[in-house]
Amino acid sequence: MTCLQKGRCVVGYEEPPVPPPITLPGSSFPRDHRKHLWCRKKGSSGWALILFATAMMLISTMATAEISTSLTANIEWGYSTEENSTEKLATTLQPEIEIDLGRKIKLTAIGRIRSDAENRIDTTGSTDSELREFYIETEIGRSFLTLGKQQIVWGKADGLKVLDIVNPQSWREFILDDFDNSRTPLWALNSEIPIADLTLQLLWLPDQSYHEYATGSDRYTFTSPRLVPRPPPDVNISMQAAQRPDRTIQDADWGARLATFRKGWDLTLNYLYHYDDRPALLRQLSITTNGPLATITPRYQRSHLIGSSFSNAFGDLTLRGEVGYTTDRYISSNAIADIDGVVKTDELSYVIGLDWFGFSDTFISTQLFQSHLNNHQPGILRDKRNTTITALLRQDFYNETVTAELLWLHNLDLDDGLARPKLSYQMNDNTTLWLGADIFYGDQQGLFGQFKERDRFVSAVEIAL
Amino acid sequence: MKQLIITLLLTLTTPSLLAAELPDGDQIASNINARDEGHSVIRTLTMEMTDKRGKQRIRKTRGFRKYFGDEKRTAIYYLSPKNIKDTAFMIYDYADMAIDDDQWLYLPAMRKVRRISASDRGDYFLGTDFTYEDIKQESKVSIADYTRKTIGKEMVDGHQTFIVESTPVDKATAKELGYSKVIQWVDAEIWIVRKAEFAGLRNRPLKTIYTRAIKQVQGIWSAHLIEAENHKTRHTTKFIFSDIDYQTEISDDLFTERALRRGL
Repeated sequence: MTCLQKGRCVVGYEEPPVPPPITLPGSSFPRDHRKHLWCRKKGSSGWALILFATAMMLISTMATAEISTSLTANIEWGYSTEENSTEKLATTLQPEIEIDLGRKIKLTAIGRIRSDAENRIDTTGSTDSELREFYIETEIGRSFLTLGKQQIVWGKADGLKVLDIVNPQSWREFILDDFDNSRTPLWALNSEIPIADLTLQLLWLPDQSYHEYATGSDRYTFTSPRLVPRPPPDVNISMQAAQRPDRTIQDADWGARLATFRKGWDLTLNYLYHYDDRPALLRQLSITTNGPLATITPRYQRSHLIGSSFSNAFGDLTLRGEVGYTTDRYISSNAIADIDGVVKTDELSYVIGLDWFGFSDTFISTQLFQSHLNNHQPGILRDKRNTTITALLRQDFYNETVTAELLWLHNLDLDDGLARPKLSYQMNDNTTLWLGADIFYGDQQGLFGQFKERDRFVSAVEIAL
Repeated sequence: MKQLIITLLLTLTTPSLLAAELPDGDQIASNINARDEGHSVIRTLTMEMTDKRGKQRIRKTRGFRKYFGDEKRTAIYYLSPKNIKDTAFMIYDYADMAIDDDQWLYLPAMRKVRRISASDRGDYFLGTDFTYEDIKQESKVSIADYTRKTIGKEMVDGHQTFIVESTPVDKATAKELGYSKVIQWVDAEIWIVRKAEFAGLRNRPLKTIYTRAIKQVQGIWSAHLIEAENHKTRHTTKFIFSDIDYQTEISDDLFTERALRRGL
């Protein structure tokens, strides 16, 4: 009935992103520095060292520590059907170690080494390695505490992110990568405290990492004029370094979630005070001896998110959803009259999903996503309202060793979308093979349609030991 | 002529005499459900799944069950293999039949707990030959879903059993459960179903379940091996129970969504 294999059970996107204007005409932005400006900070080595030292100290004091290790290897081949060429030939190794230190203390470390022989998804380098997650979990009374680099997932929707924004996301492969892979883990203090029949989750996130975007000639760089601000003709562009918050305490994000189960309903109330993972692209126009100049300064801005999620089952159906109200979004504008090139607005977003379990070994899921901007001004790059629907059909065969699925995402405003058929076969306990396709269609100004020349077949083998 | 009349009389009266010797089907079901299964239990469950070509998959889990008054809560955490490790399933089974069970599944690939429909009880549980209903009932039976009659006695694995034929109360229930008929061989002394044959919705043989290695653990009769054979697919599943513990107190917190997410 339900896919248990690690992989693209569901994919997701956050609607719509504001990508870096690396493709702006006339931009003098130095390409070699783009990682520094746009990508999240790698490492946060100070935190890692402190936690690593603490962990080693704990391990050394506990001779009875139980250690379990695993390694997941994934080899993926992508073939562009538009260009009749290999798009990627990527190998990913993910080692993982879990150390049970006793006294209800557990240490988890997950690394990732990724190499792509084709260098087309990310043209800056063929290999990258990263300490993906590194955290200590413990229990204090009935409360859970997780300290370290981790993923924190909120919400009930599949892929469509309204509340699942605690961690930033990598857009290097648009939304085609695994959710687990594309979410950027953060250094955080995460506590879950039971209070009567409620659970209060408190988060403190001093990690200033933000969305990572494809840029330049990367395969999935955003190009749609509805997503990337474009200056008028004959206006030069000067791209400034991004202004990132850098004070560990004052600039930390924090959040709270209250969860309960009442009369069949799973309910949460969520609040997050954070820096938006998309920078506001502040624009300053001036006249120089070389003509008009637009100076663009990306700046990360504070925002409040207040939201709620729910789910319940009714016969064959499961109803689930989430709603979020976000303050202080800064959406780029092409209007010359707009002084700073951005429009400040609040945004209301929600997702409603229905899952149907009517046939044996069959799962059908549909979702409706909508977002509304409160302050919609002429020239703003986003529509006042944005509507996307999704459908997922999945059928299991042979005791869930073979799974066929089709995921379809469609934007109703621009009639563009993405279809993702996939067939997977679990050869044995350790090995899974799959074959799939990513088919984009529709208006090239759309989030999906801009990649209509990027259709591809993908096949992969995953070995988990 | 006299002999013929006697023979006819014997023929007509024997079934009712036999039936009079056998306990009523509903009584047997009540005896099954009245059997002590402990207030709570912790156990390791190894699932061995073998397809018709002999290819085997093995999954190790840790299972917890606890009664909260009349309400039974069950949680199963997957320990291995790596590709489904940390998957967890939880069910709240309410005594009031009018209230649907509540079920959740934690999928580590999504890092989310997903609510799943409880009316899907005839669907197979995570690739095994046991349905969600089988998992929920454990060694018990659902009284309300079937009408029953006792049709005989037979020895199974050297133990005297009553043979009970159960038919779903209506078509809708049959469709939900995925069975048109179930015949169970119920141990006449300890009231455990030692063997059960299931017919599919078209009344063809669907699967057979054997309960074996029944031993007392801390004074409670406990199955250590349950084997299911699907006659349609020729796929088999063995549930091997070990480290059964009825005495260690289980925290209520283990049966929560946050526990599913966090794992063991």
